[in-house]
Amino acid sequence: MKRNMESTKKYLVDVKGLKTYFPIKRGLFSRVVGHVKAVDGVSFKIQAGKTLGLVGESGCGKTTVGRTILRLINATDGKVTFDGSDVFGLPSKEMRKLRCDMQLIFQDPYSSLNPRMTVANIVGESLTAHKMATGRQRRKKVAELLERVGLSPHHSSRYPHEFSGGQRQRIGIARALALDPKFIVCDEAVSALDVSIQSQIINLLQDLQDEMSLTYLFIAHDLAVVEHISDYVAVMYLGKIVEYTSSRELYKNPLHPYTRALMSAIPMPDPHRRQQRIVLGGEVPSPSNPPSGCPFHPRCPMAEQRCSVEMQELKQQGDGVEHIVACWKCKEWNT
Amino acid sequence: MAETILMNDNDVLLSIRDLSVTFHTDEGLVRAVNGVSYDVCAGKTLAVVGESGCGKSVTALSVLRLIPDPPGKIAGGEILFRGTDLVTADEKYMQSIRGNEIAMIFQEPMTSLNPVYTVGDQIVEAIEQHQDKKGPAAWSHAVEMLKQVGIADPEQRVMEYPHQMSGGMRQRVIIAMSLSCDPSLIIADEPTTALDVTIQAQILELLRDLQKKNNMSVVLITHDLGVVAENADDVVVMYASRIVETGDVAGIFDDPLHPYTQGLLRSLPRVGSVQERLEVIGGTVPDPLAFPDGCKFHPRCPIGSDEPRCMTVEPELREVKPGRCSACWYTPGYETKEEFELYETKYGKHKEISG
Repeated sequence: MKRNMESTKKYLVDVKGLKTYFPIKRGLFSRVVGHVKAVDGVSFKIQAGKTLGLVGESGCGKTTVGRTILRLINATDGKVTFDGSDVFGLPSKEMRKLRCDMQLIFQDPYSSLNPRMTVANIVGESLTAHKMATGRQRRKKVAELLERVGLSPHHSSRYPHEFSGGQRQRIGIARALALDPKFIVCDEAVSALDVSIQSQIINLLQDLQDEMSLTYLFIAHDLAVVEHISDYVAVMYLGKIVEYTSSRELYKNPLHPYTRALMSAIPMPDPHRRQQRIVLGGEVPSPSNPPSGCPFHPRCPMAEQRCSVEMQELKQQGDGVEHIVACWKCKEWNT
Repeated sequence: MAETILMNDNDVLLSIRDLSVTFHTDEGLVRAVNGVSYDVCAGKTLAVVGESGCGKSVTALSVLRLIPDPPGKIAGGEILFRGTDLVTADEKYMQSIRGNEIAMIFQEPMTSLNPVYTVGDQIVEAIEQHQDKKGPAAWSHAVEMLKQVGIADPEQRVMEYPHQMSGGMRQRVIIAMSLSCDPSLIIADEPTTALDVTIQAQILELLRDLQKKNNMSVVLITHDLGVVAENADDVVVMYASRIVETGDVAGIFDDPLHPYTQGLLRSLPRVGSVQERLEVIGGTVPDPLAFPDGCKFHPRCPIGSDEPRCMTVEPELREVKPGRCSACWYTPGYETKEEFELYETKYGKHKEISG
């Protein structure tokens, strides 16, 4: 399949007002008694060839966003446009074609590979499923893919348990690359790896992006990693995006109180900077029963009356780079 | 902040000497810990850093003799706690130590609590076992402990089951449990790895406060160098079953001596720095069934990968300057004069190292 390099569209992925609710069922007849609002009105765009980092704590809905975009989970509301086509509106035959262009890399390299399949079958399965290659052609393609991710072709007859965590993650990456995708969702792709291996995989992902002009949605909770790999960063809290800007700007000038707290909570590998940090009280509230108004207000050090009633919508701050924040008080904080 | 000199401090609480632990597996003998020695001083935090499988947790588990035997076995060495050797101590003595003098905090707050008992039952069990308090007195002590670790509404919470609590709260319960008998040493094995950053910050701050208040020693086992920099007084770096470097926290981060520590620090993505590519340590962590000959780090080392001595002779841990130990032939000050000369007659000139 040939890549359409001179795409006229600037944005490859365009997400508008995405909502994913999971019903809570109780009782004899599984009556729906409420909803977990995992993703509640999320909008963003990703430029072709760029990386958007999606950060947030566990339960904030970042993984659900990734999976809903790929239509692995059905959305409750909203629209996702991928390379010009409406992902949720496509009939399944068309969707099957589109799936070649969007792939997923999982967090856990131990549970995301079938232990009963050889590496050749894991990496080549999608080639067979999409009737892209068989027999010798498939073997050749698998060998190429393995080499590209830093493994050797003779690994293809082995089973996943024979590999270390970092090597398994490479197998997962090779599998994602098999169909020459345009867009890859990396769901905590380096979180489970050792420090020295993590940097190898980050570099590999960046090299592949340069070579194949891939677009990434990089989902992670580690802000240092996200800053390093992303062009733009969106910070999520309880199903909503609270801040979105370029990664440089976010780390230089975080505006939302949650982003600030999150950044100050990162332990710095520098013993001379044992910093005063903003330690947030309490914990992330349950998304089945989110607080009124701004979801962050019960933990926010700056919250006032208004915050518990109504949430500020995402608004551009300043007139420089794109920097949108959903907070009533962020301007005051700045001055 | 951290002026303790690691190896020669007088008020050493726990001293591990030349500890070796092996596991007999179907595939062969695994030497998980190999000649490890370190001291924990009273009131201080010692961080043990290393990647998965380097033996940091096994060392800590051996202190409490929690290694499953078989297949595990403490093959040699001493663990001196207040002068008593825990390796040879009888089981009754160990029971009086575990959870009482030395407490442990595990990584997984989801699995280290028993799901069928209330958290109160589990805290009270430790209190009744080790202290004179029984019944209501023990329960009120448990409530007091929960209050100390910052759990709101402790009278209510003490009656709840683990599944009714969040991860951060469960970790607080485990800390409350481990502190309930006033231990002098806490071994925290990756206490915050499973938690979110904002909760991690809360838990680490709590541990620091309680440590100061009760003058406890902490052995902090982690792979997160950020956590080490912010919490430790002294640091031990382990790689493939051995210690490769020790020192005070400022020394380790400002002037890492061993190539492994240097590589580890350079490979971290840092917030606020503009770097296009991360530096990497090539290769993978060696398989404990087939450790390489010589220095175990040599296949991944920028110096040792083609160095005949590194490939054949394993360097021991030596003090190279006051308070700093390293296990690398090429650390300045490591070689004795005789070794230097012997090397040059045997192999020719030493390698030039830049930087």
